[in-house]
Amino acid sequence: MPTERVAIEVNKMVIRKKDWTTINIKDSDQIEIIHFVGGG
Amino acid sequence: MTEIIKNDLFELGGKVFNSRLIIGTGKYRSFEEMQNAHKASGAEMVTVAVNRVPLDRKVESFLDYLDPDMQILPNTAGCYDAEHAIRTARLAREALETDWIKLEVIGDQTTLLPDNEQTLEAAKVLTEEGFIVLPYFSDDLIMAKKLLDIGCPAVMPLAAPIGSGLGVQNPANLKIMREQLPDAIIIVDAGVGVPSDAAIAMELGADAILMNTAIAESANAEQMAHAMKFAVRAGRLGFRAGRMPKRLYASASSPIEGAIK
Repeated sequence: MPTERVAIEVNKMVIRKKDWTTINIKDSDQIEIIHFVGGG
Repeated sequence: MTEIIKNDLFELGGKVFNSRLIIGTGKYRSFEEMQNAHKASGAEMVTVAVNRVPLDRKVESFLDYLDPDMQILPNTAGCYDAEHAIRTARLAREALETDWIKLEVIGDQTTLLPDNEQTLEAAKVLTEEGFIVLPYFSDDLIMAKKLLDIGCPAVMPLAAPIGSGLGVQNPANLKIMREQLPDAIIIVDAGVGVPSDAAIAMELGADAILMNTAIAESANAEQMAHAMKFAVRAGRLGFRAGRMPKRLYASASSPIEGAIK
């Protein structure tokens, strides 16, 4: 999965790119990964 | 500064644009069609939506089809409350490293009309966080004032519901907004259907137009984009030229004196 122009949210908080490798996540965490699509 | 005024350039959020047409990226039949339409439109700013990455399949990188010189304007389409819109804006900023955001908070799924109250709430938070907030809202002067007061650099009143293609439904309202907010940047967003709709909006004093469906759902998107480019320019030039007065009765164009009887 490309890591450019993508963002990650854990439990509704945006995770800065610099923290992607260091953040700890638990099984119960809600993770969202977003990218961009066509829209108006 | 004088160059900007002399050449009637469009200044917004610290950037200067030649084009007053902002386009969308939705509903195209293919990425190639979208690309051709974008090029034909002459637009220099393009809006994109945020969505979950499907983890079960490969997705083509949609952003690769956008002209890299264009300003990308992520939007919060699909958000129905301030909290969701704020989160989406923050994600978009993180992903694209841009402070620009088209704020869209919808009130109801059928009409897709904006929830002005939630839009204002989200705009307050986002402007404080340093976003360049371009809020989409219903064409209400009082709401426009509130949005500008809290720091939005422009306001984006709708012409008609999203994707309706009805054109400016309340021209008097738009004209009043322009007159009452002479220094505000007003971008008409949503509801444009044909080039004359875009020209009318510009003639009423809009600073720019944002459209998506009018181009994407036309029979020939590239041609329509080309037409819209001219329509926006024509409307803008007409507005700056200052229209003739409307009259109830005729006023002859040719001299009556000396006419052959």
